[in-house]
Amino acid sequence: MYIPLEQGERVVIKVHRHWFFLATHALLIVLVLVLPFAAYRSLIAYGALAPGGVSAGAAWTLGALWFLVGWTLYFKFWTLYWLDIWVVTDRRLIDIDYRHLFDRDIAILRLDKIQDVQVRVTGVLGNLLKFGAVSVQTAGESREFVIDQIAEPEALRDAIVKGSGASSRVSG
Amino acid sequence: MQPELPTYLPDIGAAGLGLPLRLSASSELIVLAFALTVVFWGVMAAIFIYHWRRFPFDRERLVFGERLFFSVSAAAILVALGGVLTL
Repeated sequence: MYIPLEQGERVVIKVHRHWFFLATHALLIVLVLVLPFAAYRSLIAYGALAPGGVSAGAAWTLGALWFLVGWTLYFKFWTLYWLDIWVVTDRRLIDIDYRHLFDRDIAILRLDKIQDVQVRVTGVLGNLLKFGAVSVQTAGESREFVIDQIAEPEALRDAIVKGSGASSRVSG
Repeated sequence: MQPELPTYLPDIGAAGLGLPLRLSASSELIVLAFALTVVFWGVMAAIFIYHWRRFPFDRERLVFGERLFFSVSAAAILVALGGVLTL
């Protein structure tokens, strides 16, 4: 992927989804990693499994491989998390939207085409942790650009409004 | 005349269910699991590298992630390999 900045163009702000979603995914992976070991221990404790059926070497190998699978799957999410980004420069808004590792959508808007910026913060967690959605309406296009679950949505809105002179709204 | 139904089920006990089960894994199975997992990891690592090195923003963070991913992965592979060698 090559997105050249124009001569003299300056990056004002870069935003990703809120860290809460990265942490949630990490917790989920940890639970999935721990589950088979907990089940194994429990089955032995209740007498359903005989202890010592697998040698120490095999147990270490299987444990390390299981961890490696979880670690790799976590980094798949980590990669999507950091590659899914909105970049506001002093001239343009660059929206790189990764759905999967080989499924991405890149949109570049000139700030002077932006007419309306809306921030939506909903739910208890959204208000407590300060994450929400920002949607941008452009002139001459029916499409609305939306980024959801981002940290500090007001900062992104302010950067876009400052660069474009668009109107802004807050809801939620 | 209806046949008389039993009023209780016999208690077959844990032994009747074949418990406790004994898990076993042959050396060949462990080596196969090791090989398949490392191949899976290698393919995913190549895909990650493809994305990390071509992405134009957040270079420092992606470089840090790359180092962390390979360091921890290498440790896990070494532990798994050590286990395989002791089989």
